[in-house]
Amino acid sequence: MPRIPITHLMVASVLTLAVTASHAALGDKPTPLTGTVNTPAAQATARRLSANAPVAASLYTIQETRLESSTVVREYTTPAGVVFAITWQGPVLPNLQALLGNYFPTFEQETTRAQQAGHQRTRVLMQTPSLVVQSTGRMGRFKGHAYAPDLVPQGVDLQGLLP
Amino acid sequence: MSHLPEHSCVWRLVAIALLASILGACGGGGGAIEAKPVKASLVSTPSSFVANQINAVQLTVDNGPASFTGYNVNRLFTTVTICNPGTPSQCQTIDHVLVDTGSTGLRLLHTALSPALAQSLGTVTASAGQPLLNCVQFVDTSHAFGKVAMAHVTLGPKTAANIPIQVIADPAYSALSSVCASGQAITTVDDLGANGILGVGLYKEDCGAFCTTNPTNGYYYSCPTSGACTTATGTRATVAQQLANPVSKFVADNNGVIIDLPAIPAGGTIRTTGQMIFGIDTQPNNGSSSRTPLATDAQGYISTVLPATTMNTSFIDSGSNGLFFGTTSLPACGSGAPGFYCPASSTSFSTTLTGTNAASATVPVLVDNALSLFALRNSVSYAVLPTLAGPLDNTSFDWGLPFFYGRKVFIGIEGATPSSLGSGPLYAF
Repeated sequence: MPRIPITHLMVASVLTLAVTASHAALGDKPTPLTGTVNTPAAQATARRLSANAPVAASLYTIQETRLESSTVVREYTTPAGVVFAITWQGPVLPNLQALLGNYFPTFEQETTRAQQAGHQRTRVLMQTPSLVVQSTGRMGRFKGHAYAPDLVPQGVDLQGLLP
Repeated sequence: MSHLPEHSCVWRLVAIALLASILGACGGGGGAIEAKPVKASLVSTPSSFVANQINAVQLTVDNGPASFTGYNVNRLFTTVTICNPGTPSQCQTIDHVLVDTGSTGLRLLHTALSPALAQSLGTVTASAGQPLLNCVQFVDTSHAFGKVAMAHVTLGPKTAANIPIQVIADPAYSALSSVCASGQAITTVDDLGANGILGVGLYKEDCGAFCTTNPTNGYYYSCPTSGACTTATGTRATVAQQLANPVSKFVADNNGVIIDLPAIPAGGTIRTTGQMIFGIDTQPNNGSSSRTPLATDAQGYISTVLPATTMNTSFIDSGSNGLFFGTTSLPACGSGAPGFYCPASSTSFSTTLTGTNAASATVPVLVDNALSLFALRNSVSYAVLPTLAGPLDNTSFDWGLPFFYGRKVFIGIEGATPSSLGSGPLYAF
């Protein structure tokens, strides 16, 4: 229940700009996606993954976007501009078809197979060689992440990076 | 009851979101896990239902609607009667509506309604004279979408008059369901494993204040122009327009529910019955004395401590068909029963649940091999499996229907008249 606005924004400066955000799909270079974003975080800076496993700041950048629905999406991008991981948290699912891009068919195929096998729609815990997705929660309180193992830059500690 | 032959190895889609479901397993399965058979019990469990109470309705755990072609396990159903507020004699009684303490509001499949009633129920007008539309998303992007209608909702002896409900997959709006989510639209009994969902959770409405101010709320949509409804966009919905928890709309006994199910032997059973009592501390049959209230946070979460792991976003949910939690001490079943645990032998845990009020309760957990349990489902039609569990991330413990067996579980509604347990949202048991 979104009784309380999701307050897990981790950046200090969130601009209230009605602009088109640069929004990329997994595996793609950033491409404009209009109409889904109204408060893009001003942050596109690199940060260290964790205190005890410092990683060169140039390994990736993070863009955090607060969707109109209040759901917060983070995209992790290589210096070459390829999105290799995505996280989301908030009351409404983001458009996973847009965020997963060319990986969405794999996601659909796996979720269909899971449903046919009796898996619940309350949890997605998907681990394929090309795509890893975890999606949990329900209306009002969703959270999840997706990444493409092949695209993760060497030296990046995903365990420390994902929520 | 028409379902697959028990020897069939065809998996059927039954799963549903807030609700889980499982299917028949084809046993064995070539995995590395050697399961000890779970001993089947033929002991029939006494019902906890007491007839002729002024504030209780019977509950059943079984395979679901007669027209359902799949398998259900651990899914709690009741019977709902709805009537047309404009013509109160026009009514329909609908069996096998899933009882879900994890959601709010009554949602009925359009296909479960008589065409005449579906047509004549009043709608909630959003913009341009068009009906308000409601969306529920599930984590795999499947979704239930349809118009909000007004109905008298009767549960046993109690009626909530003229409240908003959802009609799932009304064909007049089905073409628009992609605004709800990008995946599969739930439209049939086989998709849902039930005729509808009765959300009797911690809240009075499905969304609350969030949807009164934010038109991009993900729950509510409308067609922006009059005439044929060809596109849908997000819209605000007032609290009075939102799907209502029917219990909170009763004239009395409206501050919560008690789900009261009998204890089930570890090996499971074919079906069981119990009761849902309305109100907490309002009648002689719903007193809360000696119960420990576990207050939840604003989003309905409590914490669960499994030895060495604290899961801060835990919840009690009759709409989940197992106990779902992350642990490295139980092996997953693999492709034979994806999403469930398959320990080599019965495995027990001791857990502690703690509310935001710092009160806590200890709960023992017993987990059996899901492939062995599903074999019982297939061979002897067991729809009640109290030791079924599966993985989740390690921040949440989803206390599904197995938790409810052998307990009286109190659900206190937020903003309702406080009971002796305090103000909701809260759980007690």
